[in-house]
Amino acid sequence: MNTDKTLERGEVLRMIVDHVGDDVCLISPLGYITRDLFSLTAERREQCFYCMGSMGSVVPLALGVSLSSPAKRVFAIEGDGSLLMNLGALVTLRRYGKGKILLFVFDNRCYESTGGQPSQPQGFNIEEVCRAAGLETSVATDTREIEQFFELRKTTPDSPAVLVIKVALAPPRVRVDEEPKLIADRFSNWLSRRR
Amino acid sequence: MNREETQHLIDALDGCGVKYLIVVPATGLEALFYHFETHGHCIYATREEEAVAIATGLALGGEKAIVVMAQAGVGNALNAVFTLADAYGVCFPILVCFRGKEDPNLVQRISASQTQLVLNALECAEISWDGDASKQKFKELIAGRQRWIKCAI
Repeated sequence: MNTDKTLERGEVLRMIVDHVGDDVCLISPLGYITRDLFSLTAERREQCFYCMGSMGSVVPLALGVSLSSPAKRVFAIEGDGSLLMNLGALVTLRRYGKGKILLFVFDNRCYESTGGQPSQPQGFNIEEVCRAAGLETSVATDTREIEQFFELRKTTPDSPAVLVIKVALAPPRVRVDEEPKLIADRFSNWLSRRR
Repeated sequence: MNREETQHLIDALDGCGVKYLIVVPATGLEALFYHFETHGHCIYATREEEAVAIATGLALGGEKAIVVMAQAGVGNALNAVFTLADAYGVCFPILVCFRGKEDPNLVQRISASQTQLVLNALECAEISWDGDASKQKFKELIAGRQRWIKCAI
């Protein structure tokens, strides 16, 4: 149990997965988040695109998926360091994205999988960057705030929304042991069946 | 690229059913952008790797997309191409508009020279937009899942 107003990554991922209905796909970033998500989504494999490379690509990838499959809801999960790698994508998301995209930013303020190097200077808040891009942005430091976010997003608004979730450091779970092409083909088939 | 060449390019893309043009704006392609703004979808990305990721998402969902970039964007795009589009086997073409080794901008001349080496390693195809033959060649390249295609701007 954390006492510094941060959440456990696995607990947060489990909450997000619990909100994944049959019309939702999940896109996750290279690193610990994808490894944890993989371990939690055995029942939802075809709805998941697990990135194992291309750091910073989750937001534009989610945008492309959403444009191609407008009936789907897209849950895009990013880390703060990964998001910082491609801040321009927030502007593109604001410009072309629709309300069926929810972006979850797991903010641990460091590059955890490379040893915990700091990703942000003191006083810098990634949520302010998201807001500056014109995206509706909320912050969660406890599970109640995450549930509130989902409650507010039950009706689909016109534009994407961001939830920045303050998470603690934690060791990862299993590695993804599937071939990338299998992941892509399965995901693409799921998208085509439910367009 | 003159008006006639641009029209051949547009005809080639339309002929292949390309609906989405994903670009980082580059000099000399205004007519192409305008065509897709009015007859399809033109998405302006902030960087080339972002364009690659958007096109990957579109292709996963069954849409026909092309990424168009200036030669200077090739380096930016490589990691996303290698670790996302190539690694996951997602098919869409990338058209590199080449400024050439005689560019009046001296930095672009060096960029052209160095980028050509990279494109050679990537087995990039080359096309000239000079008539029906080029449209047919483009169709064949798309059918063959050619990733990198180069043309002069």
